[in-house]
Amino acid sequence: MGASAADITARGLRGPSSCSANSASQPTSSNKIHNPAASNTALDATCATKEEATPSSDRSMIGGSSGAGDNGVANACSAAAYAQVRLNKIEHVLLDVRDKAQFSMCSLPGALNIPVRYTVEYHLCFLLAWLHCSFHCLRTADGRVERACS
Amino acid sequence: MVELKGRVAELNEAANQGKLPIYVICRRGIASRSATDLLLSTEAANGGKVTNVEGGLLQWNATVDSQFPAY
Repeated sequence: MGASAADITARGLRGPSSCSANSASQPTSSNKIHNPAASNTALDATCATKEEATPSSDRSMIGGSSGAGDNGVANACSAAAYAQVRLNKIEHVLLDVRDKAQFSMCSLPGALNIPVRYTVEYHLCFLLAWLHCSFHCLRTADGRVERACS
Repeated sequence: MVELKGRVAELNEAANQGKLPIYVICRRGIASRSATDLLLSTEAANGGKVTNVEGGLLQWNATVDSQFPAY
């Protein structure tokens, strides 16, 4: 593919002063949030823990995009296919639904962070499912105590 | 999904009222799948141009950029 090393360089961008951003590939702040494709470096990774920009050695899959929905799942694409979107600078919105803490730690440039916050009922459902599983795993037919799942 | 529902208007504005495709990502691709389904089922359907990035950032690390931290 025609991806240059600068196009797929991981570097620090956002966050505390521990970041060392590569100024040559720094996107403008005006298009940082809503226009990932406008970033000068299409595949840059943003990570608060990265200290120095170093080119990635793993480029083998970048040209291996097989397109959105190639696995039969509707409205889905592979990471490699999305990488092509960024490389081709196709204008789009990247919505990152992780928690704010995770997003600030590490994110792709230009991403819009709207965390998915589940309701109390949602968490209760998982808690009940876990309790149900634990109860049945501990109780066996012959009375032995056994944990069959973790 | 409380926050996402409350910020649909913001998302629509970012997507220029449906003119731009939306790609949804998370760490493993599970929460983003739910978010994608939610967006497609609401007024934020964005003309069907909402796409989940499968495998999320872990897959991004595995197949696109190994420099991106996996956690």
